[in-house]
Amino acid sequence: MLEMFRKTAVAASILCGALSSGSAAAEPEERAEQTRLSDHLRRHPTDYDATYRYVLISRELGDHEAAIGALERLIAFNPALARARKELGVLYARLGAYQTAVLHLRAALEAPDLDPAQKAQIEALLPDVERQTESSRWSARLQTGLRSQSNASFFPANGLFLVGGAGVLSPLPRRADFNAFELVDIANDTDLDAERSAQLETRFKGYATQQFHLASYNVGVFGLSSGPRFALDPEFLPGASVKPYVTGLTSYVGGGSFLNSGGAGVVARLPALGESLSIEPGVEYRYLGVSIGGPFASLSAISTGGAVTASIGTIWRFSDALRLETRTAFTRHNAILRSQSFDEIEQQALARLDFDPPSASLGRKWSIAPYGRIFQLAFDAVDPMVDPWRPRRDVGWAAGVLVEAPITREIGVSAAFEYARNESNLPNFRTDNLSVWFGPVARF
Amino acid sequence: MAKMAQSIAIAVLLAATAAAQAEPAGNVGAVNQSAKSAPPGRPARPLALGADVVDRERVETGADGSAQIVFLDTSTLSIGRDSQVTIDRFVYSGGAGGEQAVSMAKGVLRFVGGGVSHGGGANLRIPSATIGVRGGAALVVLDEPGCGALIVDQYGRLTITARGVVRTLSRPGVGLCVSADGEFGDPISVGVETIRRLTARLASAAGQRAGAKRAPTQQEAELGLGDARPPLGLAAIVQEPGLDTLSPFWAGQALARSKASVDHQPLPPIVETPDVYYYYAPPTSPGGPVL
Repeated sequence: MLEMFRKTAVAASILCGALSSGSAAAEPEERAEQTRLSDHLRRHPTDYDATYRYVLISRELGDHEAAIGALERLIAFNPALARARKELGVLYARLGAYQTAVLHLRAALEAPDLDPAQKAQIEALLPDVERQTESSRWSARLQTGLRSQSNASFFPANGLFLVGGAGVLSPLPRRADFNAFELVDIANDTDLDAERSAQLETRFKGYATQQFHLASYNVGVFGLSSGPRFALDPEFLPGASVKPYVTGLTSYVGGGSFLNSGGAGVVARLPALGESLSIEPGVEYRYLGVSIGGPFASLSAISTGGAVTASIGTIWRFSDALRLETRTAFTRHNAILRSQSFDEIEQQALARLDFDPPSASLGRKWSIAPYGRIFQLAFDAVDPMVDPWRPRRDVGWAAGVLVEAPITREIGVSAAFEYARNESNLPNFRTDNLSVWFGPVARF
Repeated sequence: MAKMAQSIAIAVLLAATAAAQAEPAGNVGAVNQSAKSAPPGRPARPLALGADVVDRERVETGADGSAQIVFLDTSTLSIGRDSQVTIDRFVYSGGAGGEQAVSMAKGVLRFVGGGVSHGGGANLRIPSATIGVRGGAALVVLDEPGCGALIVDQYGRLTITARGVVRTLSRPGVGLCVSADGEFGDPISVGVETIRRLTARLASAAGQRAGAKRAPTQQEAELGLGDARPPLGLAAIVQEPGLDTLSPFWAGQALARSKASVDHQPLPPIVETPDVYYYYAPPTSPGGPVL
């Protein structure tokens, strides 16, 4: 299975490489055509067919400024040309000129002769653009739904346990279950200093589940982080920023408090490849306090102690339709017990493909995102409760697909399918779980 | 007297030849009358659609006039009503190479950068300051009440120098006032209404068509520009769906799994019936899965 995951990862990277090289091969021809049209239009500015081709090809090449110049010209020829205004508004928004974007999008929306499908697109976009013109910007995403899990109790795959080095077959079966879940994501950006592009970023995430049968695995996780983001010297690192932050988390499992943590970190954002690639290195320290009792409390992988995580994330906007995200992190966790101290390496990757929905009246794109995650845990010392000779070594992985289909600007549906597996040298921790979840999602 | 007339005629001829041979910096992309231009050494003429614009050409618009100049590097200069602008210098060597300097004596303009500005070689000069435009667009008005010259960063980076003091704007929608004697004001967030008011001075008025014999129609624009939806997350704070969407699910799962491993652990077997358990043979090495 692990080999299959590796092969899939290799195939995905080859596919991305092929996409990249295919695009690179087509670009010189498009550039040549853009130059030809540009030369032609300078002398024949009222050749509208050529102007539209020029706008489309410039947009395709990411040369939004060239497209803006041509669209401004069309509007000079016909100030009531709402379709051009809509395009102009979208392009200004892409460049971050939100005030100008609002101006054109509102004018296009008010035009009596604009196609209803175009108006639906504007209505889906305009509130986000208008929000960006405010000095304090709120955003929320709420999701609820049902989730099915084939192994909701996280029971070992073959029912085998080690107890002090002795093997024991448990008579208990693994349990499948459904749960209802709620997910809340609230974000606020507040301007601190307009000239230096400083803003305070605050993020809250909350997630809760209610199992239909296994109430002892009801989970709630609530995390808050906040910190100012400062632009770095635009002369040397244009578009780069750094954010120190503080963070806290509280959680429960089965109705009892489980993990509480607090810490601080710093993360940078470094644009590259003409801002289509964003690289985000970061480092974070957290103190974790875990409330769990009983004779086997030392078996919990999450334990009281301090954790330092160094991470690097990337977001590559390959095109308007394809966005690739990766995150690699190394965590050193120093627990009170050596048997609960560990090193962890984790890698996550997600490729999001955005596509047009089946109906023209739906203003926002839909998306499908295959993803994968793999992590390796190596504990410092043996836990005699399990195996007095071998420290725990885990390799876990998950693969899935996430689909999101906005119906209106605010409401949509989201679904996911995920298979997760944890391999371990100790049978107690060998688990697998197939999850499917589905439900409405709202954004404000 | 005849000799002097001959010299003047030669000088005028040379100037005219030089102007005729000058490489164009760009062309007139749109023009509402009245707008006239004066190439170096030549009298002012009405601006005409598609006409060449050369170095040191001065463009002046009247109360109803406006124009758009399209440069060879695809940058555009929109000149509003009652404005006066001179193309001081334009050299384009392809890509992001070259030099571009435009002086503004009065009125309002919008500059949308092209190749030269991406290399940092584009400058707008106003009486009280010089504005370097790098990969961006600027809106400049010289007669903003209570402000003097108002310079708005539409996007990209503007470096404004006045009386030896340098200020940088890199946040879209932020503006800076510069007084007639070169004193900077505080940076301000420029609202949509201000942008609307300034943009109106650049736009065609009712009944104007910017020199086009036939205006483009809505139907043509619908066909020509297609139906591409804006990309997701264009102006959203939360860029989901993505890895962030999944992280709460994974976090919840990790907590439940951690607790489950404690809950499920059986007690040691009672050593009465040896048939129901076995002793685990200790391995020689820790082993474990390898990535």
